[in-house]
Amino acid sequence: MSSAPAPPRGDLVKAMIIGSGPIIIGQAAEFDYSGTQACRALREAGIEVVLVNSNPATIMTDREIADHVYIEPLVPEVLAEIIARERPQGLLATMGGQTGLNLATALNEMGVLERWGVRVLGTPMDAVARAEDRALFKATMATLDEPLPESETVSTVDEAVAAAQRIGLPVVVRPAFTLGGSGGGIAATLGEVREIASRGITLSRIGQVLVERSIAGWKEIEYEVIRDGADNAVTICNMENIDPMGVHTGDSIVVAPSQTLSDRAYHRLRTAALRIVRGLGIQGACNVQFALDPASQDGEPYYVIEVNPRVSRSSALASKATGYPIARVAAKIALGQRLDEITNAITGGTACFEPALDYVAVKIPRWPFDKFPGVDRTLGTQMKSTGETLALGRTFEEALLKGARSLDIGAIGLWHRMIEGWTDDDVWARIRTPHEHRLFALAESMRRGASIADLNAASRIDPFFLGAVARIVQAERAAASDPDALRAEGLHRLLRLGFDDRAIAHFSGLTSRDVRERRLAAGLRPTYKSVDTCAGEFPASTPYYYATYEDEDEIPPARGRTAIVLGSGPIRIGQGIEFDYCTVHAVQALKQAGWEAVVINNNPETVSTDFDLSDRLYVEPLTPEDIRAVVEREGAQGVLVQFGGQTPLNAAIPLAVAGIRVLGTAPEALDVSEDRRKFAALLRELDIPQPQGWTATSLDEVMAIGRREGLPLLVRPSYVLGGRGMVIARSLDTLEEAARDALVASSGPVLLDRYLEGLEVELDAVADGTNLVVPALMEQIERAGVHSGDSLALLPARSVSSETTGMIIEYAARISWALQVRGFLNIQLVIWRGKPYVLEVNLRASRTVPFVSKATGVPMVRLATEVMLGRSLAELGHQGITLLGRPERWAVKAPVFSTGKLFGADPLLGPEMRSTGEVMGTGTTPAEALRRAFVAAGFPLEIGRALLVSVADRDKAEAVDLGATALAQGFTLLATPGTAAALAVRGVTARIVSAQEAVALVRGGRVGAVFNTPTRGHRPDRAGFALRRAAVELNIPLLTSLDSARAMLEAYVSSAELEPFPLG
Amino acid sequence: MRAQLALDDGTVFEGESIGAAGWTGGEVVFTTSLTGYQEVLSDPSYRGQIVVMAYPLIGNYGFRDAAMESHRPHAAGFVVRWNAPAGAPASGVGSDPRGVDLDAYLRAWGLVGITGVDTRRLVRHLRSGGVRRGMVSTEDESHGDLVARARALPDLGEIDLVAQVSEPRPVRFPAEGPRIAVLDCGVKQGIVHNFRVRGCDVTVFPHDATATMIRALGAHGLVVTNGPGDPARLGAIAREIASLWEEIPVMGICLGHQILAIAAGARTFKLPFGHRGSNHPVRDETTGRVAITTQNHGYAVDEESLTGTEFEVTHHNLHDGTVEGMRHRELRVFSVQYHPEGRPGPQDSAHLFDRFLDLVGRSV
Ligand SMILES: Nc1ncnc2c1ncn2[C@@H]1O[C@H](COP(=O)(O)OP(=O)(O)O)[C@@H](O)[C@H]1O
Ligand SMILES: Nc1ncnc2c1ncn2[C@@H]1O[C@H](COP(=O)(O)OP(=O)(O)O)[C@@H](O)[C@H]1O
Ligand SMILES: [Mg+2]
Ligand SMILES: [Mg+2]
Repeated sequence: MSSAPAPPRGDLVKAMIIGSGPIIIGQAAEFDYSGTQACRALREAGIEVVLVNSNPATIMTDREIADHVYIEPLVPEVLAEIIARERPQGLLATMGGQTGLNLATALNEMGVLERWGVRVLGTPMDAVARAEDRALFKATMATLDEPLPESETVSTVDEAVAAAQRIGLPVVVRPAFTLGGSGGGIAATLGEVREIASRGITLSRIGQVLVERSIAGWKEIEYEVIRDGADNAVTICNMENIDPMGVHTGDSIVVAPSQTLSDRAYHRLRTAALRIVRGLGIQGACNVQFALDPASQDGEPYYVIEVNPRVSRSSALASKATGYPIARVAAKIALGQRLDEITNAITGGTACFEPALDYVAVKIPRWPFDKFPGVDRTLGTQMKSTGETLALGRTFEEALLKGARSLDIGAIGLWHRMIEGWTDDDVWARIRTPHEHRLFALAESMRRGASIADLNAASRIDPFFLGAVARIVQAERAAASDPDALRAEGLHRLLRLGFDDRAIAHFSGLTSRDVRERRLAAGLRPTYKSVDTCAGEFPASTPYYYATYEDEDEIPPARGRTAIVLGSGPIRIGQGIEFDYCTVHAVQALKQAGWEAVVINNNPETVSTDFDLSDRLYVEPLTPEDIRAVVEREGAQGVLVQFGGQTPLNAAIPLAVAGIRVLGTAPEALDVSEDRRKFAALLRELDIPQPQGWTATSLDEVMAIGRREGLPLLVRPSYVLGGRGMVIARSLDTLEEAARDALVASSGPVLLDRYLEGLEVELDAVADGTNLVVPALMEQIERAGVHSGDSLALLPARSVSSETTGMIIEYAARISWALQVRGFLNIQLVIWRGKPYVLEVNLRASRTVPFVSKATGVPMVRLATEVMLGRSLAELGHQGITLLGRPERWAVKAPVFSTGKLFGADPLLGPEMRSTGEVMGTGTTPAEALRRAFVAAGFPLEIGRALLVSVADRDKAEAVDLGATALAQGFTLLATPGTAAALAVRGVTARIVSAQEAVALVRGGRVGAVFNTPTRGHRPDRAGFALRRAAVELNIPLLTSLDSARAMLEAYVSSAELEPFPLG
Repeated sequence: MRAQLALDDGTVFEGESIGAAGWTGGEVVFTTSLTGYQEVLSDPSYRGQIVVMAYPLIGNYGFRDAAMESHRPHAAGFVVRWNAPAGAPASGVGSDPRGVDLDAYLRAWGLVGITGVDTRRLVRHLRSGGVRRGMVSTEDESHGDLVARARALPDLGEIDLVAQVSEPRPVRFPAEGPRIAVLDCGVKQGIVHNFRVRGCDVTVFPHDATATMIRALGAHGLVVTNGPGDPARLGAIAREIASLWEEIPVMGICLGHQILAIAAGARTFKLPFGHRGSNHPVRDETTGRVAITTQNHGYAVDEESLTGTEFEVTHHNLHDGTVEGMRHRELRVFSVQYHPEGRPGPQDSAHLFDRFLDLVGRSV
């Protein structure tokens, strides 16, 4: 592999960029952001771009972003095929996260790059290896004499144990070439060493783990560095993890710039970072992580933790925290440009400088635990968060409080309802062991009288940060007890500390309205400052702002009609990158329509928070109050709430009440669709069938209904903090159990629905109150009962009769007329005994809008935006009620789960959504589309491999046909005794394995796929649970619904080559 | 206690008093360094200036003697957005008094400061209008009075600031290595430190030391340091240096660089708002390499005026193209406008000290 620098501009005509695939924990929207920036940068330089990504919910896979877009599985074979067809001269692999890097490494090792003469652009492969391969890295650091914690690289469990004994416990065990610390952990006992090492070795692409001295509790500091081919190198910013070493940076609250480092320490580490990056030979962007002794004054002693030789989540964060477009500049460097030849888009000056901040940036992670009952909520060296928020403020306190608000978990300041249930032990447990709620526990402990000294001893968090929390808690007290705190000067102080009206109201006992009135009476409104990379030293025209309470406001007067698009905040299960896709397209549509497009969002990973997308970007929390302030400052004509998922929709009513115009469907209508009672009434009125439903307030009531109406029933609490714990009750026991849980979980009553185990169908439409257009109907492969977000979806639906289809479209029309829908309409139905029942209606862009748009080529977001701006669908070419003709290719959406990273989480499909991402596969037949989707989702299967079948009694009959089909297709069968017996009766032979053997075989990698359905209700059955965990932790295809299993067999009828198919 | 900052253009900024009570006047300048507030305060080059920190949090990692660049703070006043103590409040929630905070530190040195100011507005104001004379006062005076007092302040250029900051007597740090004479025009300890760690025998001379005194030491090399004020006033120093550079290698840093230019017969001019910060990109035209540098200067060397002299420009600032370094065409004399010692700021240019010692080495 040539590690020669990028070719001079000119003889590089075509380049390939690899995306990062589906959203999983550790690899989220940040790579859509960096990949999109890279595509733009390359095309600016006149280079033809070939883009490959399996994730349809991305901007980078838009036709406009690259010249040749392939939505294809990200596996070496497919990429090799695409390279052979497209013949790019260059490959840019450092924009697609660990996935991109690993694929490039594989292609390189397979000789594909050499064969087609593809040069790796930017950081050469040998530099990548020096950074990624723990042993090579160690050697390189040794030559630079940069200190690493004492460690040994091993490839067997016994070696790991021996190493741990030599180094001394506790040790950190970390696999090489994995993402987000998968399989890593801190081991305090030799037993734990064994356990973590065995997992790590299997997860590591090269079967290596590092056993390393633990320095948990030291400060964790990161530097974002850019170096060009001429050896100019700058650091874009440094970041300090408030949670010290031991908590993955992706799970730490992070502040930029560092707060507790002296100038000497800051520059000691900066100097080290530059030496390391030069020593490794990076050409582009990278991230260097250090551990610093908390007692250190001058930056020593320190240790180097790792280098990511690519853009990363951290570099996305650094870009948004400073305004410096790291990915863009890195891409230009990959083309051979020198830093001092590249201009800083913001100041028009040189990109060869280091940003100066005049604000504080705080990042707070958002975790998915609420979706997984019983999952371990503590934090460690393996990343568990799905997303993050960015908040900017002129004080650390302000940024912290804005960040807590942006989490969208109902926090009021650093207070949260859940705290009321905490004993002192609960509080301290969450402080001693890093925990999802540590920030709130810290504040609570201070309310209960804890001292900074004790908290520092228990958490190792620096007193500076604890002191800031203390100042916040002190201010809460003042608000509660000191009348002056609520007079002009006092209010100003609270606001400058980052409190919002709602929090001041909560702590003072006033209403938010009172506080607002007092605030305005005192002339206190937020001012907006711009993020300009230079702390005001040079004129800058960045339209990138944050709110704070100062004298001067920097918002230029609006030029034309302005509309505000509300983004979706941190990525979480159920509200992912799909909504950023919609937000971005809404902005583009607004601009095309000649409006000024303003975005409010606080997710640093996204394209929507790229400063050059919208006319003005506000990085702010998405609470009604923060939104209202922006709307008032902008004097905007209205807000668009249908693109950012549930968060903006929830804000619609309060905004309307505040007299703000919501463009598109009226808030009252939105309310009907969200309110179970009103909605049921509407459907009755429109004579649209829906599953029968009941509400019960006591256990007896529930059981009575159960006995009277019969089972199965779908049980859900009416309201729960995050996630609703929906359960399908097939037996009275389960019903009772579920009802009990529901009654504890929620203050309100229990909701019961008749569970209709039929075919689930979903549609996304755009309506204008009169006309309605449906690009296509989707059918879920799994029968209703598996959340639509977690099921395989086939587009167009193949098993819905034209008559039923007609009824469904008719229902959609009726609903859109009744609610005067202007914009999106998403309907989920179940077809039961030939009749469609409406399960749910969402009057907003749904998760599937990007998928449908890409599969059908219909620009749904543009249509919806135009309609919200007042145009009719007829003007836009969609007269009447139409279901568009079938697209020429079948498309399948497959969910992707991150359950492997969440210990104690049961990877079961159910009515609660648990997937973090999705992939799309297309084909000329459903089978081909399915296979692409399975491969893309990381579920490859070779014909002939052993399938392990272990199903619940009620599924055994069905399992028989499945088994027979599998054998007929040339697979072999393993089955647990019960299942094997059931198969044998019907002459389907399977090798019998005990539950324990089954797990062993899976862990041993001897199983091609696992078909397992749970035996008891929703409580994990021990054996099954162990089996499922084993499968997900080792990335072995696991199918917990026989429908998905059947689809998999359909997909793998043939294993013929998949011909890559370029989009448009 | 309330405090106000008034500029001579009539602009007034409200805030709260921090540090000593009373009033102070000076030239209001800003620095964009993210760290190093204590190094900034104690850098003699800030003599007579009221320093505005663009970065809003000050005091967050505490105070300590090792961070002093001279024996005492020299800034005339300090303007910050937020006093962020390294620990908890001395009383109240989580109470645990530890270390000094900014308020205590300024108090101890009798320095008048103002906090809670919209420093970004102030920075933008100075950037567009240029540096201004200003007064910070904790006394309750009308805006008008304070503005008037700001207008009454002398222009810094008229004051002999170097004499105020230069140590009156020579100080020697004996060692085995080459003898380096440091001409103290307001030297930062970082400069002395860089020669001492390289084993040099360093003698710091007062600014008015004559060439004869330096010869008497048998110096192998001369370093002309940073310092406050208008270089145009320093013709006398320039003459002494010019009479030495035939004999020994000379290195100029910041003000020292400007003095060498004067000695060469070139001119200096005042920049609208100076260069103050730790992130200034400078290209070494001899290698094409860019370094991120620490800067603290209000004047610059006029490139035009160097033509025809024996000096050639070696470095430029990437932001405004001003001269950042020069060297003598024949003699072993070079200078940089920036601070290779950092403090605060990057160490990327520390190799310049080695480069100078190479020149010296050839003469030892
Ligand atoms: N020697 C160590 N002692 C304690 N914690 C560590 C050690 N090494 C790493 N960690 C923690 O583990 C986390 C993940 O390690 P890292 O090398 O960054 O892996 P990843 O590639 O997942 O980012 C780090 O962010 C740090 O908090
Ligand atoms: N009455 C029902 N019968 C069968 N399945 C149902 C019923 N109600 C809901 N479900 C299943 O639960 C899933 C989630 O329910 P839904 O009301 O759509 O909640 P969400 O708001 O999370 O999408 C649906 O996708 C469907 O698979
Ligand atoms: Mg890391
Ligand atoms: Mg749904």
